[in-house]
Amino acid sequence: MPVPFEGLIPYTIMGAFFALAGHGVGFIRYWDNGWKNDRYDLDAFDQKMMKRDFNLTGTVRGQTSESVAPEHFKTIDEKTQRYYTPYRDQFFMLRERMYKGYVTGNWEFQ
Amino acid sequence: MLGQYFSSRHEWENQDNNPLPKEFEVDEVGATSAPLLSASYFIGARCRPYNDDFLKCKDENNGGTIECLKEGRRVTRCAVSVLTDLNKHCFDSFKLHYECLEQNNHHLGHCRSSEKIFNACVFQNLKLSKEIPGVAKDKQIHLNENPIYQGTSNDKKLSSDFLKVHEKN
Repeated sequence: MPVPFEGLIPYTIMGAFFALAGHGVGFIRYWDNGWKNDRYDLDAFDQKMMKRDFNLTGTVRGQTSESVAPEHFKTIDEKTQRYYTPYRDQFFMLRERMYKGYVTGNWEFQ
Repeated sequence: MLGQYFSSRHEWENQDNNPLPKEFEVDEVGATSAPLLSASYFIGARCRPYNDDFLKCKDENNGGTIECLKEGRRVTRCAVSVLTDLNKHCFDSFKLHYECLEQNNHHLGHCRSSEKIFNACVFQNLKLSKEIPGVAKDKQIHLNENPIYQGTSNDKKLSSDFLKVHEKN
């Protein structure tokens, strides 16, 4: 017995909203990367090279094939600054350890 | 340390108060990660003696942070020379390949079509070889006509467009 199409309308609407959310986030990420696809599965070397790319081009995903770096690149130095808080990295300790254990397989509980 | 709390009390100037001696100065490599990956085999082909020399020096001098500066400058200059030549002779196909790499998470297997165009240009103009160390010369992946990873459709489209434009000129 065929399903009357009126019965499928709610599912169509739900699906449309899910698609809107997913494709919307995907589009924003693509745009935010400078119209490039996300990088994924990055190791320490990739992270370091992406930092170097930023120092060379001034944009997060910028690329250049210039053979010689600008003069300021020789002495470039990145400094991260933090503000004072007595509880740094102390929030949600159990939750973060559960998460790290779930992701890395190391269940380190003291 | 107090600058963390009283940042405005520090006078800060963007200048190097302790510069390197002149003989240590070298032009750094200015290419970013994707062009470097794209050019890596050609850099290896031309700079192999300098790179081996540098690694041997590091091996013999327990890391050789100070001892191997000279060899390190030679490595840098050689890489810069390869990149300069690539930009001079193969700029367009170089760009085609590294932009494909940048779109595909730097996976060489996803960009074989543009790599083929780039290789042809480099083989013709720079006479550099492309060789994966430890693989037989006739088994190199860029010679394989039917590899497992065939590349993305976008790369194939951009490569054929590139060829069409360059055949017209």
